[in-house]
Amino acid sequence: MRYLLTSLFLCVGLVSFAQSKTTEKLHENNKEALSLFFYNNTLRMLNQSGDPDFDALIKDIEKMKFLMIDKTKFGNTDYKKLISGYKSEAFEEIMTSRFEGKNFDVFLKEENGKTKGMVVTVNDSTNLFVLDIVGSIALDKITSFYKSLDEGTEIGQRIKSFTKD
Amino acid sequence: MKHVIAAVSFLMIMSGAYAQDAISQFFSKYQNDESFSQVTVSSKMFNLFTKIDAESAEDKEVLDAISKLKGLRILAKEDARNARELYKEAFTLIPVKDYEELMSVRDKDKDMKFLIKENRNGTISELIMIMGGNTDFMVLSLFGEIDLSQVSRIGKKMDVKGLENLEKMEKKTK
Repeated sequence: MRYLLTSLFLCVGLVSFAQSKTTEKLHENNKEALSLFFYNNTLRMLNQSGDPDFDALIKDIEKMKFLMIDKTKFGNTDYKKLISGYKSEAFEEIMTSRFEGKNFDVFLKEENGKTKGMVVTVNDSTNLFVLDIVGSIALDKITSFYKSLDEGTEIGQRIKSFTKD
Repeated sequence: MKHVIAAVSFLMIMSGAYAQDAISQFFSKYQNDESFSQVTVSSKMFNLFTKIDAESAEDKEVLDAISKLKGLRILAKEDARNARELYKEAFTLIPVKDYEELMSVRDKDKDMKFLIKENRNGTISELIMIMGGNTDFMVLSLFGEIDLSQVSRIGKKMDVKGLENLEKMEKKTK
């Protein structure tokens, strides 16, 4: 089953999705980065325990690209350029936060009053995580979204174990 | 006469700008200090809360209240040896004559003061909370069109660390 899913991911990776150009460029420049791609169904599959909060969190996510970049090759100047890149694509910064050494920033892109995409960046001393979302996350659940994907949670562990195989 | 009105208007605007700058000064001083936690939320994010489906009439009231907010800034420090000094410093930088003290709470070792700023039409344009304890410090600024009766529920709905202190407002608004 896992090989089937991997094959599906590889196939869909060849098709151009509506992720942001800035994220695509980031990935091109960091080919060794861990890269995952999720459709809404695959995110729901990760929720084996049927956590209703997680389902509510992801219900409006059409697809999501997840990048994890090693910060030893990506400094603060690179991060500032990355943010400038998103802003040049009409992503607007709607929330920034810093807690326990992690910077958590949320950017939003709208067209005609409709949310087209969101980018969430989580940045600490060792890693940069970028979640490029086509669709949106429930706004009252944004702060719990990263926690859901963190390795300490059941869902985070499922992502981690999936990527190890 | 027109020149006088223009000059007076300009001075009033500048006074208002300086009052906001005083709070911004405090945030600017420490927002890049990584020993502080911080949260900044823009009006765009608040505005988007109108698109969330309300599960109840009470929920709808809270979402309406959130949509009228223009911004939120939180600056906090835990395990701080200088928490009491930061608490005092916050009061020296905020122009307290422009604000009215709404409530004062003492919770174990923590002192919390809630201050509001009213517009001429009686609506509340800003709520500030300053909290200082033996090792914890926080300053919170919420601005826009603020409905005090909903403030405690806003804190619960948004699930942003630091906003839970707004639940203490419930005692005052009842």
